[in-house]
Amino acid sequence: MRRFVQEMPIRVKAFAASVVLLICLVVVGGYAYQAARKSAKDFNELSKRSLPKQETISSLNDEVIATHVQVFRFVTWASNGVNAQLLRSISDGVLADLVVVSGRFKSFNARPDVSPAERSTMADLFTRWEKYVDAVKDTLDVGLTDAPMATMMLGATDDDFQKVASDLGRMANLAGMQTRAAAQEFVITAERNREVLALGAIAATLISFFVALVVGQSIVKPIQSVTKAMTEVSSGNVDFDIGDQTRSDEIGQMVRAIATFRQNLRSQTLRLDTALNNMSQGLGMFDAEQRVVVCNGRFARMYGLSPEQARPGTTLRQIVERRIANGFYSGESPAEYMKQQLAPVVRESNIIEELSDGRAIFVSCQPMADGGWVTTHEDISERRRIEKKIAHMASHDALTGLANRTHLIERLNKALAKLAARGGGLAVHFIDLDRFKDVNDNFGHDGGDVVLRTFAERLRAMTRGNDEVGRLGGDEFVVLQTDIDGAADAEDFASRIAAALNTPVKFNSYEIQATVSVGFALSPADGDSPERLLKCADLALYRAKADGRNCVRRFVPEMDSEMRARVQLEITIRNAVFHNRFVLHYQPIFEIRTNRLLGFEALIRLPAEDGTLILPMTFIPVAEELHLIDKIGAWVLQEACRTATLWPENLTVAVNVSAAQFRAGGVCAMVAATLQEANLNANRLELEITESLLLDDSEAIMKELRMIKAIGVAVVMDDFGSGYSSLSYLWRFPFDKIKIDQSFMTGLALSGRDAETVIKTIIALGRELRMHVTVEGVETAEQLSFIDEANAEQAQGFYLGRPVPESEISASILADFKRASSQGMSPLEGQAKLRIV
Amino acid sequence: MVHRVQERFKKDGLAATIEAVNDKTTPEFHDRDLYAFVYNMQGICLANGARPALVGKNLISLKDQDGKYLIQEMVAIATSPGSGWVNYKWPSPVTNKIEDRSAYIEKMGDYLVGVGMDR
Repeated sequence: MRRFVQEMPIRVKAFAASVVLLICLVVVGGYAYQAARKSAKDFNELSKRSLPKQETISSLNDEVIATHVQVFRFVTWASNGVNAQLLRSISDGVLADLVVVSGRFKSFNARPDVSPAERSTMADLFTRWEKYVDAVKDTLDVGLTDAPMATMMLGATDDDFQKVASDLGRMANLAGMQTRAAAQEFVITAERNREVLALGAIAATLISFFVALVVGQSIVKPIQSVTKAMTEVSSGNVDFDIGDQTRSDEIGQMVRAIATFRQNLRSQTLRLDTALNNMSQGLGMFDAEQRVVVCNGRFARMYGLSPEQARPGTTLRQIVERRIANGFYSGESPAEYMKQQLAPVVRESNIIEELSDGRAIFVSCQPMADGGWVTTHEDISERRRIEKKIAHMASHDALTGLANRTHLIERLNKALAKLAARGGGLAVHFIDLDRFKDVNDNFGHDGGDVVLRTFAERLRAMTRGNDEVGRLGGDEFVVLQTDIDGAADAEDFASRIAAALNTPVKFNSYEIQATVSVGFALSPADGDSPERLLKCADLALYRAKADGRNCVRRFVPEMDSEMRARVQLEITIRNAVFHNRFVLHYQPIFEIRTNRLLGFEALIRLPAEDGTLILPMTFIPVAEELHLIDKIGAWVLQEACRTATLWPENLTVAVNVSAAQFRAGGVCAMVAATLQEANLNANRLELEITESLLLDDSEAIMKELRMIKAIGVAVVMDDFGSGYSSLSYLWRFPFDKIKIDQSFMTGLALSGRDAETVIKTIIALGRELRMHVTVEGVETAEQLSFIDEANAEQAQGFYLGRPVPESEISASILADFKRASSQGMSPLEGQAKLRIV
Repeated sequence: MVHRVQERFKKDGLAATIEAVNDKTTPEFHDRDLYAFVYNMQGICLANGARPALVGKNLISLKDQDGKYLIQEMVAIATSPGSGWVNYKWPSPVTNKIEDRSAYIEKMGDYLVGVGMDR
């Protein structure tokens, strides 16, 4: 039951309480109404019946008395002897009055409110009245004629009157008593009503009070607990007793809503806590009184505070004091630090605090609208360290730890600025390992790296304070030597560098012997900008390399002009590539036995600005460095093929293909496409390669060569005998032809028989290997006759024909025709003595 | 004179008796201040030799100035012993003033008969 009452919805409770109050009100009010009605009725009774009855009796009495007085008046006047007429009129008046009064008696008797007691009293009275009336009538009658007798009779009449009067008095008394009784009853009833109403009101008040108390208890208590719960929630506590959630009334709904709210708050708080405590930054929120509102774990740990020491409510002063006590402060003194920390936060600020323990903390403060502020603290020590490292990495070489180009130039700039201000001199040494590629090839990249690192160490060991050692990439080092004492000092230093680096490097169980070339330049003598000095040193190095490596060269102004010439050459090459300015010259190749033209070797020429032609041996290496050799090679092939199509079909065209082209790949495909485009038969094309191509011993290149041979293009070994001249190349690939290098022809004149033997042997070797052999560089008739005797098959050289432009080829072809005709042979089979065209 | 009335009554009956009593001209019932009267036993005056106005009136309640119910006394005497005297005050037929009078009463059948005189 108690529970039932408790869980009743509030509106039902309120309704029930209202109903109870209403019932009380209706009961009390109804009773009051009834009582009032009864009072009104009683009063009405009193005023309408009792009072008029009394009045009627009273007036009746008056009338009876008046009538009786008239009787006396009549008798008196009769005794005094008034005339009969007057007496009669008086008598008539009395008689009329008697009739009226009798009527009144009758009408009184007819009243409905006359009680039986009254009625019987009234009947007696009326009887007496009748008797009186008779007496009066007799008296009057007698009086008209016999006044003394009338007087005599008056006594008896008066007796009757007295009886009537006495009865009337009794009646009046009775009526008065009735009225009094009614009034008394009325008063008593009113009094009782008053008491009943008072009691009823008290009872209703008590009942209402009780009901209100019960309802109030069952509403107010839960609401109080709900209010308490809400207070807990608003103070941030999420672990509080929430009350009975199973109630079915509005309180239950409220409690469940709070439970949901608490759940949300919990998860939010949890999320907030998780977020706060997983932040990489320390976070503190302070209110306007400089007290902690929220503070995460990292903030506390960062300053060595226990969670208790940083809990909400702690003052900033306490926190700063503990931080100082823990030795975590910045600035000149703890006092200064305290003052600075307690200054009010009025605007956003971001500062870095260098703490006394060496850490750097990035502190960001953000004021809030309520006068408090949020501050985040981030330990950026590690970031700073990394930033320094990154900065170092950006300016230094990872492998050796030496300065990189950028940093070196920076240092050089500074040194040069100092030089301009204070005078003195500096030197830039450019160091390059000789044939570093061999070191890598022989010892692997690990070996190469060890050498580079060792060299870096040695160079660093040799330098002084303001000097700097840099690595520009690959095997290039630069040493900035400051405060030099003249050129001799720099030269001496360069020599010492070379000597130091030429000492073997230990790698595992090996000793790596590497040499270096050094070029150096001086400031202010050679220049005053980093770029200029590095270029000068590079030029000197270039010279050292050109002079056979493993040596030291100082920059001299002539290198500049060489440099300018080279730059000019580069420009010329580039222009020629992009504007197709190259030209091909063709040198004829003859069959010695028949003296017939076999074909031409296409030789590239670069027209210079001044109209002269630059030879390939000058510009091809430069073109290779510029990575333009592919384009040039492709152009040569196309141009040669195109030209060859204009020739008699028995003539071949030979084209030189550089190793760089092969390394780029796709030569065979390009050759095939070119042949097709030019519509030239594959067997009219010969590709000349040098043995350096085979040095790499690359399977990819061998495959490419086989494919070229497969499509019908002849593959020719050019300049055989000029380099390594390994005979093994000759059987590693089935060349179609060997061209004996022209140096052998030169050697023929100088070395005599030994050279002759070598030439004869190579010619014989070629024949044995079923390869055609062309002897290059035939410049004299003697040479021609020698190789003819040596059974050489083909010859090429100035004696037989210089390289000529395309326009002049037709002449030599025509001459060949003429020779053939003069010998009475068909042009194709012609045999003639060789003659210069 | 009472006896004359009695005789008349016996002789002529009531009506004639009454008529005779009332008739002032009959000297046998009228003599100076003497006159006869007849009442029934209920007090109704049947005849009065001096005051005809009273005839027919019920005077049983009549009382004199001393308060004496004289008619009732008369009835009482007539009833028992049947005859006697009654003293009372009454207007004299001579002076027409209230005088002390006496009357002799006798029963007469169902009636009473009396004769009054001044004292």
